[in-house]
Amino acid sequence: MEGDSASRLTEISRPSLLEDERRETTEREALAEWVGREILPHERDLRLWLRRRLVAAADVEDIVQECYCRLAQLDDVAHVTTPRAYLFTMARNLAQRQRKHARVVRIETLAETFDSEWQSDQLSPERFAAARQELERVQAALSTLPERARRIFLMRKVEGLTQKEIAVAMGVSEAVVENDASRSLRAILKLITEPEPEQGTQADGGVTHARSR
Amino acid sequence: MRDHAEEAAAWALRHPLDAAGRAELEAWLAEDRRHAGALLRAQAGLSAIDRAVTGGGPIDVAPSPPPATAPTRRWLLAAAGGAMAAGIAGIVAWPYLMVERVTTARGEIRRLPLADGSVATIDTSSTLRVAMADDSRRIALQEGQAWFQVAKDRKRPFVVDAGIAQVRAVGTAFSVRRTGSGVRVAVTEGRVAAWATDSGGTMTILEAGQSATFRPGAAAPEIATEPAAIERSLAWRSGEISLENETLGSAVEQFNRYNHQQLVITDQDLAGARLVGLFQIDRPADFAATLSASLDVAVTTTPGEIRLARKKNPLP
Repeated sequence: MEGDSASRLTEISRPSLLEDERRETTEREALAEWVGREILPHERDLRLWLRRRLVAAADVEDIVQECYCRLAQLDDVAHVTTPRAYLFTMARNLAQRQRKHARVVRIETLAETFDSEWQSDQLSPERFAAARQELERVQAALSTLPERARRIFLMRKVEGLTQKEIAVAMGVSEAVVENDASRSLRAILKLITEPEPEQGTQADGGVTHARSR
Repeated sequence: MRDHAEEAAAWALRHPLDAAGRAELEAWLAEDRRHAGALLRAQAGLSAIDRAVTGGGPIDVAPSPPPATAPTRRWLLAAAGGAMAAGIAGIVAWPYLMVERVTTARGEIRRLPLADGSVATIDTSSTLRVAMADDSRRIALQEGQAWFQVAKDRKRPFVVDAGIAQVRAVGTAFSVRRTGSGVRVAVTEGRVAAWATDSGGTMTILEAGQSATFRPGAAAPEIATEPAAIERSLAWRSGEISLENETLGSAVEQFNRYNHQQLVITDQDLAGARLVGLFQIDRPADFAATLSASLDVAVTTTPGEIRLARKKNPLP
């Protein structure tokens, strides 16, 4: 199980030609689109599932992050026929590896729970329903955003405008558009992936980080 | 730990990139191998938003029919998301409903969908009374514990009366446990207002990850912020007990609330041993077997009891 396809993959080489770069960009976009459609909707369940088993929220966070790191290394996702199972397997392997290295030795009924849970998880019809609900969930999350943030996303997608062009169209500075969009993107990610808001990370009120250009 | 998320979101949104921007992005990606993952996640989120934005049209959520048979735990997991979507779409309209009394037996954990779309997950040996009216939703928790996922309905506050304490919510999720020594309210989602019944109206606002413990006679509750502990303490919802450095004594007490076959510690010096692990609530024998393997505990089983003693000659 340890040697699944995710860990076998090598790093993506960095092409230097412009054409390669363009192709890579398209591939990256396709991967992001695929992850958004096939993986992201399961993150919430994955977190719940892990949290119930691993207890420590920090471990869950690490494992989820690592899953995306590995996905980012994929050149091709054609071989992933059941993305949800793929994600859960990856997470389970990471969790088991982590447990091996953990200082506190967790009592060994965990492995069995993982396995039985794992099997029962595969066929449940509610899973499919949950995937269908994803669009509604994102829309519901969008509806919690301020009007300006929603308009930014709309202009981005529908009119294909860049942040600079959106800023001009709205008569605000580019930084405002950046802040709004970035904060909203994170808020939505949180809404659709977190089983419950975590103390302390909840207040996303002000973006304090200023990205250097 | 999620510092990358903020930068990643900015990068995902910065599009298209010119040559200089690309170089800058490459440098950022090279800084930390986790950046690539964070970026992918942000881009994935953005593409999901793009789809939702253009997926257009009004939100069309069909209310899922209540399950005809005993609900599975899968259903429980799916419920939170569904309730949220339904609540926001505001399509939940249910007929007026009457009073209902529900009791769970020892070891029984029941998921009870309520007429308003809320769900009460009821712990072992608990009793509650549900009264739904057009202008209010009232639950009287007479004994035991329940976790409520409250469907959003601003016009009808959801109030749980646990004797010495009251809890009020609009659309959120929280648990209330009532025992002889007090009432504990723990919030897993959103926020609730809680107050001591005879406090004269002084309310405490609890956010997700916070708990309040009301003691008889005390005017104010003890407040704690402990999201991980709350999540653990609610492992019973999926029929599990999650131990994180708890004493054997406390673990045994928890198991015994759910099972007729009682665990008994015969050597009291065992009671203080600390444990970590996740167990099936209804399988005290498995728990005892694990103990015998890892703690040098001798286990004697009868139909009514599982006795835990220190092994006479522990292996070196």
